[in-house]
Formats: sequence, structure tokens, C-alpha cells
Amino acid sequence: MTTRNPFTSLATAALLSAVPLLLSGQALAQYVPLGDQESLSDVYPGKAYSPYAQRSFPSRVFWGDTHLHTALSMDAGLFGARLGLDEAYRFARGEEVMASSGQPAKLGRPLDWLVIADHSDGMGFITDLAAGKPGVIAFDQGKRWHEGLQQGGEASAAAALDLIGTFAQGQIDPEMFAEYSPGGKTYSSIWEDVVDAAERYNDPGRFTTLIGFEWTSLVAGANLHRNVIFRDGADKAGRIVPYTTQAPIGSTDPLDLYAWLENYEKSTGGSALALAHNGNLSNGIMFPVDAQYTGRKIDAEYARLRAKWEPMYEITQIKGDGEAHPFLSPDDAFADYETWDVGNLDLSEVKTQGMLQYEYAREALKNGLLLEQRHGTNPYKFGLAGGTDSHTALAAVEEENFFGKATNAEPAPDRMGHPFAENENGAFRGDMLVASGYTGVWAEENTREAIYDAMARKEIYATTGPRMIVRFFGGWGYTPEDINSRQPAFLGYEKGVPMGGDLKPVKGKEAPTFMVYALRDPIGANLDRVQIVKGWLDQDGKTHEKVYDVAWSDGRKPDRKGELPPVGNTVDVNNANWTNTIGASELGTVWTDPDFDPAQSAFYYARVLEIPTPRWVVYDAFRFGVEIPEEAETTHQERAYTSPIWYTPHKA
Amino acid sequence: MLRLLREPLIHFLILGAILFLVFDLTSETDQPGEQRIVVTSGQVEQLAGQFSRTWLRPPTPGELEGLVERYVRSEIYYREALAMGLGQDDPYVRNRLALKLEVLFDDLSAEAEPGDAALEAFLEANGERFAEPARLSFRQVYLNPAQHADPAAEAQRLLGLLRDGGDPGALGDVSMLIPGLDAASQDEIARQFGEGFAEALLGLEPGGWVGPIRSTFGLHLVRVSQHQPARQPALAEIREAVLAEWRDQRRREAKEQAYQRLRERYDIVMETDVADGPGADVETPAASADAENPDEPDAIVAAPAPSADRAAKERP
Repeated sequence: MTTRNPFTSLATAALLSAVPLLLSGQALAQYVPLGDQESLSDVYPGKAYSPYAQRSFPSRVFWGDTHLHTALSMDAGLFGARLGLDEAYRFARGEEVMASSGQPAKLGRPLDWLVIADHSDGMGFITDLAAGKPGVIAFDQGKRWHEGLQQGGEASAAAALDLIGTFAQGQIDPEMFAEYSPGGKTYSSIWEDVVDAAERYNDPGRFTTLIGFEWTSLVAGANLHRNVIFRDGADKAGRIVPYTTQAPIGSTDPLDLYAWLENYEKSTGGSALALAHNGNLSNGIMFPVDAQYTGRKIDAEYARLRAKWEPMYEITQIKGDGEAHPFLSPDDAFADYETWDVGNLDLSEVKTQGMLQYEYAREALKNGLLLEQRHGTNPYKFGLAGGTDSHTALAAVEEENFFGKATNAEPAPDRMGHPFAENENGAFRGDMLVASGYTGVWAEENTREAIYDAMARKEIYATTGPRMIVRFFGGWGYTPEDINSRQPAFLGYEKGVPMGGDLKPVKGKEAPTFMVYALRDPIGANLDRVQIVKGWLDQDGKTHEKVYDVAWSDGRKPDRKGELPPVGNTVDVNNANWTNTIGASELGTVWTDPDFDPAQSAFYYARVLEIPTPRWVVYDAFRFGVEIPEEAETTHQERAYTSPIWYTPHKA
Repeated sequence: MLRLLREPLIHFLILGAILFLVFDLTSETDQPGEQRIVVTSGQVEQLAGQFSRTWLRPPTPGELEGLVERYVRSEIYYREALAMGLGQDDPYVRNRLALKLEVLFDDLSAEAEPGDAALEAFLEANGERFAEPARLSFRQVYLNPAQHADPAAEAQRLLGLLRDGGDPGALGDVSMLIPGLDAASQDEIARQFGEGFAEALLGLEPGGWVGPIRSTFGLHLVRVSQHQPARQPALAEIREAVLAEWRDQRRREAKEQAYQRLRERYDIVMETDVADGPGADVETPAASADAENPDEPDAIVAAPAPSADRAAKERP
């Protein structure tokens, strides 16, 4: 390979420049695939070694949480959360805070970015509100309070009490009161605080805050929740208030949310996207195939809008892992992972097997191929994100540092035995809470724009907590030499597309190749294996799936049925310990689909499994000296899910 | 307008108005038999305003009618529910009211404009919070111990090649690890290579290739090209950050002080002997979620929780 040397040095330059504090003043273009006529030198300018050379593709993973609640969410407050926006950001960027339960909390490693997504219902307008004139200070009472406030400290506290007392006794100047009573002309809202806090903590290059909220559509206890994430700052996102579910302003129908998003972009010139979560608690209405829960038929319009506004899906979080279900994927030995399938969100209705196909991400990806055939657009063409959905203002889902779903599930001896929900239909037991997940974003730099753009193009992946680095490329000509080159990513982008992309169509019958490689979390567990999950649509309109083991550790040999023996298990439950004596720190391969049919549409994503490690309950038992309930899982194999790469046949 | 909304005075007036309302609605003057619902033009305007802040356009007449109808409906339910006492000890209602007060307290003094002297003093008192950490620029060549019979000897061989001007991009074992970082703090290095490696690296001075240094992945030969020591930035460089922290601290203090003043107005009485149980610290009995006696607003009687109720404890 004659281009190796230039490549190597260019790669080095690009990677060296991809550090947090070197912000180029100019906007960096997204990587544009090479056309045949272009030469490499046109694309990678500059001398090799300069760390300031222009980056031309995403070279770093930035870690964050798409889904955190603070005390501003009504339910969070109800559970006792007292930490607000400031504490949430401080904790995420690595500072120690005092948790609502009165114990100090600190992340093992800071996050690079955070989306605070408090529930929009009940959040928007905290007060009933105020109009005012600057002349108000002229009023005697107003002046007194104003001066106290400016002094701060004791004087400010005294002014507050004086004000409260005066109002309580009805002694306020009636003229002034009229100006500030409900029905006044202007509004103050919690949303302004939300936007303001995001602006204060956004620190480009070091820590990114993305403004967001959760649209909490619940239909008879079935979860249709979406988070909304803005690319914009206060100048645009501050002009609106979040969409709610209450008519006539709001609605529980995702189509109305799309209309609101459309209107936001049109009116402000901003950008926003949505991502759903917990299909596993939707009782069969998250990923409809024939009709929405409203009875409205799924049609080209629905498919187009959903594809447009929902480029991601939150596949894993504290309330269960939503990749696959063992009933739907009986041949997948790893499908039953942190499964929550008792009922809907509030357990008002039990789950039936018929619902499952409309709840899990892999099945939705498959049904998306079918709907694309029917309606021309694939509504379920989403990238894969992980979020915590923590209601504690603490994005803390490290297994040995798990602060639970809500304040009543923060570390305490009895939390394992305290159910999340329980009634005559069943229970989501306390030990079932999942210490998951985070999103890895392949971006050029740690800024709002770069991270949002990576989400929009789906160059992201979900993990259940660990921070393994995963690359996944699809194309038509990867060779084993490519992955053994010094910097496979250059060839990855040059010869194909990254995770979240579409295979470029080719004429002919040759099968696509995929280059996948993974590096374990620097302070985490070794890797067991890398798998590629394929889903496809056959000529009869039936969907299929297959999971291929493509790279694995310890030189294991598949048995006669082609099954890879388990990697082993070093977990010592009694001592809450495990070792990296099995598994590999790095795994990768170039894989060619052995069952490819150019006439069938398909998707491919990589699943990277760690060796078995203890679940959070094991650390709890060790530290608090309590028993683990018999029914609780004690070990698990944490994992990463990359966004898929899709193949669409040539139209005849 | 935004500016105006940020005026602390406005916040206080809002706070006062809310409290006034709360007192008004919970006192005897709210007659269950009241049959008149007056929808003022101000209220209509506010409903329309909520709509336009969500949709960035005014509501159509039909939509406005819907908004008003919804308002009337909720007002009727609200009054009837109040009359039935449904709000009492409802955890959502309690929580919502408490949250409102907290948010308003939070905003106290938030926008005050301190002079440079105040900020200088704050910076001095909190120097470590604003310290710029030491930063390193380095390159590394990775050696996977599993791929060599004698990793130590291989490390020495590579070291020799590198010191003789060998291309670091072409030496060592292939890996996904990044080849180096520029102006990275110990924390940033640790996120990529682990804590032990980062610590070892911070001990190095700029110069030639050295090593091997061990990380959680294996061995590394390293060349540090730049090492900026930790330093204390001056106020002018980081005024915005200091101001933000100053305001944050002031906000917390103001909130806590206001709370303490309010708390002084209450007698906190434990109903029975407090000497047993882990939640029995006299300093932290506070109102547990369901122990307040509504007839005695100035005395909060806390029954001992059946188990150690962590929620009933206050943060220090």
C-alpha cells in the first residue's frame, strides 16, 4: 500500500488535533466521502505532524446522557429530589455534590455533555405572573425591599420575610399588587431557568450542555415518551416553552409533537430533534406497524415525519434494556438482558406476547424495512442512544457508583427490596433497576453544534454504562489489511460509511463488508466478543434476523453448531470483585456478510459484549452487608450497541 | 422585558403574590358556595400568551375558546376539590408549592452585580476551584505485551529506534488508542489511558523519548513535547466564571438564610421520646411528609418515623 506513510502521518495529525482545548475558530465541515476523481491530497491538506491540522472526520468519542431529570420534574420532587439544574451540571462535569438523600456523590469520570430533560407538563409556567413598570421602585414598599435585596445576606433574607409578611397580611399597596397579580401581561417560567442554566454551564471544548425537555405522553399507562433536544441556545430555544401533553395547547399524539417541532424550526430558524424511550413499557404502541394507538393508519406521512424528527432511539436506560427480547429473538443467547416485560409503565395493564413486536428496537428496525417497502420511507431508521432517565439530578449509572432511579432508590441498605412499581399485575422489583446507560458520540469537537450534528447523522452508539470505544464502518471493499493499518478510521471513512449511514448502492452481486473494532473502557472490563446483528426483509415481505459472532477473545473455537463457548466468569459475588484475566482489551475484524442477497433490504449493527462483571446489587450487598434477594441477577455482560448501517436495493 | 423579569424585586413580588394567593385560598374567605367565575381580560391574555409561547403564534378564536373552556373547567374542579380538602397533604400539591418557593428563593440576588473587589476576594478564598491544572502535550507508541515474548526487550528496542529518529506513527503495535494529546490535563489523559499512566506522565519533563510507562492497556514509550505547570489565573482572565460561581454561592446562601429565618418562626416538636432510632437527632427532625398538623401552622409535630426515614432528614 503506497499511501500508507502519508496516511499514517495525516491520521496522527488529525488525532492529535482532536483534543478538547484546541478549538479551531472555523467551522469544520463534515467528512465528505471521496468521489472517484478526487485525490487524497485534496481532502487531507496540511503537513503531517502539525497538531493544528484540520480535522476532516470525527476522531473522538464524547460521552454523555440524553436523559436526566432534576427536582424540576414533578415526579422527581415527589420522590424527594431536591437537587436542581446547577447540581445536575456540576455533578456531570465531575464535581462532588450532596445527593438529596444526604450523602456525597461524585462521578468516577466526568461526562463530556449532558441533556437535562425535565418533564414539560407542569414545568412551563411556574407562576401566574407579573407585569411591571420600571417606576415600581418609586413605591415606598418596593424601594425598601429592593434595597434589602441589593445588599444580600441578612438584609436580603429580612427583606424576603418582610415581603412575605406584608403580602400575607394583605397590607400590600393595592396599586402595586394589581400590577403583579395573576393575569398580568408577562410570564416567568421555569423554562427560562432551564435555558439560563444550560447557557451558564455550556463550556465549549470542555463540557457541553444541550437544552432539552421530556414530552411525557402517557396513554392509559402506556409509555410514548420522547425527549426533545435543541441544537440552539437561549436566543432560539428561549423563545418558546416546551410542548406539553395537555390539550388544547399540547397533545399525546407524536404527530402533534412533530408539528410543534416543525413550527419551532420554521419560526425560529433553529433545529431540534426527538428521541423516544422505553418502548418496553408502551404495551405495544411505541413502534406501530399498521395503525397508531389513535386508530390512525400508518401511512407515508407518518413514516416520513417519524423518520424526520426521530433520528435516534434511547435503547437502554434504568427502566430496562430495549434492544431485543428473548421471545422475539429466541436464537440470540444474549437477548435477555435487563428485561422489563411485566406490563406498562404504571403496571395498570399486564404485558402480552403479542405486544412485544411493537416495543423492542431490533424488531422496530426490522419492521422499518417493511414499512419502507409499503410507504416509501423507513420510519424506524434511528441511531442508538443510551440515557439514564435518572430522577435524582445525578447521571450516575456506574455499577459501583449507582445512585438509582429516584431519591428513594439512592444508595441505602434496603433499596434492593424496594419495588419501583408493584400491584396485583406484578412488580418491577427494586433489584431490577438497571445501572444504564450513556451515549458515545463521534464528533469533531465537544460543542453543542458538533454533538447535535452527530446525533442527527446517527454517528452515535449506546452503552449500558461502560465507555468502550467502538468503530463500525460499512462498505464494499474493506480488506483484512485495512484493519491492520495504523489508522483504520481513515480507510473506514474513505471506503465506506460510519455507523448511522447508508451503504452506497452498487451494481452487481458482491456482498458488503464491515470493519468493526472496539477498545475496552480504560478502567473497565475486557471484551468478550463483537457481534454483528443483521435484520432483513425477504421477497415475501417477511422480516428476519441473525446474530453473527465476528471477533472474540482467548482464541476460542466455535462448536459443531457454530456456537462460541462462553468467555468464562471471574466474578466473586461475595467480595464484589472480578478480574481482567479473561477477555481481550481490543477486538476487531473485517467481516463480509455470508448470506447477502442484493434484492433484500437490510440493516447491520454491532453489539460489543464485555466479560461478566457484577451488577450494582453486588456492590450494595458488599458495602451495606445485606443479602441479595434470591431472584436478583448478580452478574451480567455489559454492552455497546452501535447505530445501524442500512442497505437498500437498487430500485428496478 | 427579560431584563425586567430578572429583577430580584420582581421575583419578590411574584413570591408575595403567590403566597397571598395561597393564604387567600386556604383561609376561610374561600367560600365553597361561591358560584361566580370571573374570567378577566388579563386571564384571557395569559391563556393566549401560554399558547403563543408554545406555538409562536396567537391562538385562533376557536383555539382561544378551547383554552378558556379548559380554564373554566379546571377552575371549577379546582374550587370543588379545594372545598373537599383534596389538596391537604396531597404530596404533589405540597411538593409543588414547596418547589415554587424554592425556585423563587433560588433566584434571590442571582443577578446582583458585585464589584471587582468582591470578586477578587472570592477568587482568593476559592483559589483551588479556579486553578488551571498542569497541561501536557505528548505522543505515545503502544506496545502490547501479549504480542511479544519479551516485552521489556522489545520496549528497549523501540526506544532505541525512536531516539534515532524513527517514525512514531509506524512503530509499535496497532491499536485504537489515540497517538497523543495536546495540552491535556491529568484528568483528560486519565480518561483515555487510565489514572496510573496519567500520573506517571505528569512527572515527566519535555524532552526525548522515554519509557516504557505502564497503562491498563500495556506499555507505552512516550515523548512529552510541552509541559505547562499548574497556575492561578488572574480575575481578568476568568471574570465570567468567577462571577457565575460567586452568584451561585450567593444564591445558595440567600436561600438558606431565608429558610432559616422562616424556620425560626416554627416550633419543631417531636411527639414522643426522641432518644431511640437513627432518625431521632434533635437537630434534624424537620417536617416529614405526612406529619404536619394543619390546625397548628406554627407548630410542626413530627411523629417518629417507623423506620429510619431518610427523606425526613434535612440536608445540613
